[in-house]
Amino acid sequence: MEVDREFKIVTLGEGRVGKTSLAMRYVRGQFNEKEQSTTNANFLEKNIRINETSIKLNIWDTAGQERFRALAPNYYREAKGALLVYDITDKESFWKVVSWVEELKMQADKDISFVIAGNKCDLELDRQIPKEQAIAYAKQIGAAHYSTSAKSGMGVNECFEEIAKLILDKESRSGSPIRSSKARSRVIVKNQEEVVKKKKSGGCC
Amino acid sequence: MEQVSEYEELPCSICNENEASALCKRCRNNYCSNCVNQTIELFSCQEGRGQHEVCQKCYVRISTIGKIISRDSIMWCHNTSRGESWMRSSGAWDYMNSHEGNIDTYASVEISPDDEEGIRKDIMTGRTDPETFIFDLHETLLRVIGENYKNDLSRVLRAYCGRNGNIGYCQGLNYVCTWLLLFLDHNNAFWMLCYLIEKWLLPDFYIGSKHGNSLNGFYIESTVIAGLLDHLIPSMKNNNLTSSEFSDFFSLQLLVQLFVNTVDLDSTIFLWDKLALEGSLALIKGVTCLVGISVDLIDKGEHPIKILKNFSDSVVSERLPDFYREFSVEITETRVNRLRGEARDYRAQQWKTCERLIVKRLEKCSNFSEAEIKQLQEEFNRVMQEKKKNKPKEQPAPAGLVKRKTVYLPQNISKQVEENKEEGEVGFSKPEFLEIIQKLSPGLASSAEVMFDQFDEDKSGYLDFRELTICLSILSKGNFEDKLRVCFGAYDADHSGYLQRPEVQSLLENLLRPYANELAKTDSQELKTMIDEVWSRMMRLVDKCNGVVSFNDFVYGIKADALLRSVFCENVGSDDQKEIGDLKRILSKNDTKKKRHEEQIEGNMRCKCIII
Repeated sequence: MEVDREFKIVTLGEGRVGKTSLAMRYVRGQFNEKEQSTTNANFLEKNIRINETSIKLNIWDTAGQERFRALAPNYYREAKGALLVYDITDKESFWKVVSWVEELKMQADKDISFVIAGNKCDLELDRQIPKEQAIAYAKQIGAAHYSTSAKSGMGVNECFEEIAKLILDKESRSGSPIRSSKARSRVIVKNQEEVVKKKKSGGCC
Repeated sequence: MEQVSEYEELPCSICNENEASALCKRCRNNYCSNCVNQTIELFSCQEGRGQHEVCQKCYVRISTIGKIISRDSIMWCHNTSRGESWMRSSGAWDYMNSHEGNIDTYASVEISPDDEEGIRKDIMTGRTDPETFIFDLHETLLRVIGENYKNDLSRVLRAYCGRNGNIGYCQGLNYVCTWLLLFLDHNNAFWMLCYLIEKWLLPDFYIGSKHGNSLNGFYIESTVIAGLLDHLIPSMKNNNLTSSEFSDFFSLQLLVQLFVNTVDLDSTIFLWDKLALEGSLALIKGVTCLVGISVDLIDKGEHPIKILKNFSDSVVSERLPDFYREFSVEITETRVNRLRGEARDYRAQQWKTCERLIVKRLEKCSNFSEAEIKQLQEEFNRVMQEKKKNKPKEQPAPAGLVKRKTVYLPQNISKQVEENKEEGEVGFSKPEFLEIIQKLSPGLASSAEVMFDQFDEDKSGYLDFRELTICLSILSKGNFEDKLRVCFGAYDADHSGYLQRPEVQSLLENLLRPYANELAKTDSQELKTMIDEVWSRMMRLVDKCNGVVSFNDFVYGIKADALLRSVFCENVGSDDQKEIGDLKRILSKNDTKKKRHEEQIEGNMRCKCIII
């Protein structure tokens, strides 16, 4: 499959909020209750198509524990998008998102696009962060907010695709050759494996 | 149906001649019946434990695991001869026997909520269960696992947090701990963990973020490795990343997990044998070897993280010893220590810069505001510049004795180090620090030396700007409890988390020295009574705690006793808030000694009043 664009995206957030699970759910469609803790970053790829543009997302999934934080610049350097994840059942993890935004605004690529994901929405009963508060904050910093659950799959595709769209939009506004409509674009997702299979059976995407 | 039709198109993954007709239940590759004809007991199979058909390669790998388990008599939470030999050859055994207490002493200590939560989520929710490990360890664990797997892990990790809250729980230690419990029982695993964190590794290797220098020791090792890679691996030039970027990506997991859960079982054992003999030098050699083994992937321009992932599914134990032998010639203790020193200077220099992120970090870990830090930094840099100017020029060594350096830190780093050196020194030496303390808190002067060692977290021999900021922050703006913590930590010579009788005695000696000097001059009966009283009350506190005083016992004991409280207040300072202007004066050379001395005499009088 021809790839028109390649975007680097980084997932950031406190330890154990489900960054790896979100990335795995998105790329592999799997959820593992016992995802191991990440010390080194994971690196995942997924090809998607937004309107007429086929995009390869390089997703860098980072370690969340505070003491690994100083390593993060290695991962968000040159990233075009950041998925900031918090756990809706953990207040502290939301404040971490706020501090990540501050750091990225200071240190990262100035055009970086943010999307905030309130994860573990399957645990709605234990919610500690009012959705309105999170949405208001996201609005304030010009980011989109998604309620996600890596377990049920809710909101997962949407939040990653939103990042891709935001990046495309920014590029088109800054006069890059990629054409992209500002209206809500239709997204066709193609998992790499799916693509391979289809090719085998002679189908066409 | 679908699966069968897929096989028809696929050739055998080994011989590439026949059509594949079977699936290896381990690597999930397709093979022809000639190449998959062996059955072996596989515990970690997707379809469940049992006899499964596997390919030749996997057969060898699985039977190697079985052989290693029986060779070393591996049993969960039991001492094995290999584990004990690690303890003896490394020195952990002597370390354990020369220290009071065991795992239970520490298990009862309250640990920070962060550590508590970290361990709970990483262990109890299953994030360290056998299936989260790479194949070799997954299979090994399933074969030997005990009933209380999670509790065993969490007990050792919690005990360590109790012993050393500054390190606490670092992700990655969960794997190290699992590894230790495969070869040792709880108490030995605990002491081995203590020994490796406190003796094997650099002092701030796993350090937490409380003081803003998280994992500092890891960065130093990673920078050293980068320098060695430039020297030893010509292929580094072919990678898009600089050697220091490559090393940061590649070394992190290997170093933090001490090779556990990154390379195959046999290789991990090989590297741990080396670790036990050579300490952290083996860590550096090991990582360099693994890079050496991967040169073909580096030449292809693969990202270090992908190269690292490759190890989880390959066996390198046959090639590792040769690489290790070869690199041992080049990676010597002297070289590594020199590079470490340079890397430390580099890290220290970064704290001097007024970059916003640096100031923000300092603000977070001290009691100072952004403006105050900037003021302090200005003053610090000025003093450092002066120091540089006044420093006698280094005499070039006589020609015959000059040893030419051949290994450097990566070029971009060493260049920066040189440039920054022009701007001034990086920190205060011990004598300079003593002078500062004399001015800041004269009562503490007699303890200043131990304090220096405590704040010099990377053991570089000087306090860099971060270390100094934290020190000043606690001494000038910390509350009474913060200061007692410094005092406690300074005298906890063996970092046991407890003060033992001799440690309390040496604390009292230093604390009471000014009073004793005064006594020698005046021979005042009151003063003598006071000194004796302080001794006996402190010793009563030690007795009450059965000879081991925890920090909480220490704080409560002192706060609850008016005399002790006033003596400590006079010496470590109460909750006073010094103005930043004062600190600036202290850093530079203005003399405030006289005023301080008067204050102290006044303090002595107050103590006396309390006894009477």
